[in-house]
Amino acid sequence: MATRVLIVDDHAAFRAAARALLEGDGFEVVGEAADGHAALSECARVSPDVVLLDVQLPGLDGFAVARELARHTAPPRVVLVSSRSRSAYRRRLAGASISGFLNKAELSRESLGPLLA
Amino acid sequence: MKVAIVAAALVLVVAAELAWGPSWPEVAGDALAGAALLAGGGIAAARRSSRVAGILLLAAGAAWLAGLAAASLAALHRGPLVHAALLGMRRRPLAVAAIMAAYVTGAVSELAVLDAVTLGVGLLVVVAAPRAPAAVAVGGALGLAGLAGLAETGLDEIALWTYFGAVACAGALLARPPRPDVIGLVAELGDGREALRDRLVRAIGDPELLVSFPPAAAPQPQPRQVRTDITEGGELVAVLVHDRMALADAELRAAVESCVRLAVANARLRAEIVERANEVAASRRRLVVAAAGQRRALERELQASAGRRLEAVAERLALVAGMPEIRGELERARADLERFARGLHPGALERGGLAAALEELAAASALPIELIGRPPRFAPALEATAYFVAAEALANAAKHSGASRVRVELSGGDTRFSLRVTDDGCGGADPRGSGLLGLRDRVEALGGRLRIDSPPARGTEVLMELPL
Repeated sequence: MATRVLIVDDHAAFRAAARALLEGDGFEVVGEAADGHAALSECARVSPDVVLLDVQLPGLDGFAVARELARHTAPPRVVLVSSRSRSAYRRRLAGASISGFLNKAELSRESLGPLLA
Repeated sequence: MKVAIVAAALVLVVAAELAWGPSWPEVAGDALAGAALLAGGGIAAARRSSRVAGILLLAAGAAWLAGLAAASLAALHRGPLVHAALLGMRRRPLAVAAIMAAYVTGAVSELAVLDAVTLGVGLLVVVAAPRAPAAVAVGGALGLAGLAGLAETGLDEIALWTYFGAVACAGALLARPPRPDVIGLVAELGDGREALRDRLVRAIGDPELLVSFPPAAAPQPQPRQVRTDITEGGELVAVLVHDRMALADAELRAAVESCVRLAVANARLRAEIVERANEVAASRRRLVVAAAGQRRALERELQASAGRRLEAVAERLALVAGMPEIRGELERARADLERFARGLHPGALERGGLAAALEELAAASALPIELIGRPPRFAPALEATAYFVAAEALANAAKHSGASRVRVELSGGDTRFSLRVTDDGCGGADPRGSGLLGLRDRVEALGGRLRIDSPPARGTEVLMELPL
């Protein structure tokens, strides 16, 4: 059974690129959201295995969404993505309930696959 | 204990990192920064003078670790860290604002993630204490982090490492013992022993400090206290009893010791000067008293010898008729002798005290004199001095002032008495030209004071006060 992924990003172009990349690699993209609140309701609706979550979102940011998701009984895995390097979020990443962090510049099948699988 | 805390911190950091693909150099940097805070805090907290800074550093270290456990606490360390860095400047409004801003923005994660806020807090910290190295390090690193976020120019990594470095530096800098303000210490030595103790208490941060010189009276150290002997050229000059950690720092100890040595030397010099001054005052007083005694003796001697003989001659002459010129000369000689003797020491002073002598003086004066107050008897030197001041003031009034009347007031209590001579004359008397100037020495030698107030056209007032 394919891994079910929810893509959260406020840029439609990024969502489309990520969807193409993931679907080409055998993942099932079960939904998309453009801000933090939409991400939470989408998650409740589709119960994905993994959330590909942008850090800088309107409303709740990626860290806040990850914190909220971690309270669920069966929380999805969260991979944070950002156009900024991990150093920018170093201290917050350390305390966040996430499975990985990816720089948008490094987005590729090779980098994404192992984090989501 | 300290090692255990630091080790636990490292384990926590590593455990927190394992969950996601971390960058190992950053894990190490994070861990070292946290360890520096905890170690610095432990060292500073063990020392009484920097206990508060130490506790704040430990809190910052604990918050640093908490930040690794929960992203919303990532900036929690900011408050206690900035507080520790600005601890010495709590009286400055800017520093207080910076500390409060650090606590609030560190605790509220919604504010902590705003780069502009981070930049603002960083600038505020630097501006609040541009000469405190720890504050500049922390504030500068915060500012850089905020700037990196705002600019989005790839400065993130540099900003992060700068921040780690600044946090570790602040931990190390704040672990050092506070330097005593030695210049201030020496400047305040003049205020005496209590001032020295207060200053030392502030310098070493031990409110229980006891300073003892002479060292013979040194108190016994209580539990947790030790005694530090301070010697000068092999001689024990002072003893400090203080918290055993208070002087653990060699540099601080040396500074405190030399300050106490200076204070002791200073106190000795002062005591010596006071003793000398007391000796001189006593010697002046003895001279005046002795001179008064001699004048009295001379007066008695004159009356008893020359006075008695002239009197005998007058009695013999009374039995012989004629020789009016010789009688006249004899009477003049007797009057001269009488006046001379009274100038040395008025006999009335001896017989009836100051009141009687002043009455006699008033009766002999050409001006109407109002006598107010009737003093009791005083020591002969005091009575004589008061008498001569009154006599000189009355003579001046009669000779120079053109006064129509003079008032002489005597008043006093148990410890001092005063003589006030006022006239309604033309004033303008020069106190330095007056014969009263010589009398001032006598008054002052007896511990009193003499003041002459003579504004033009407003009369003259001579006020003498003497301690009893």
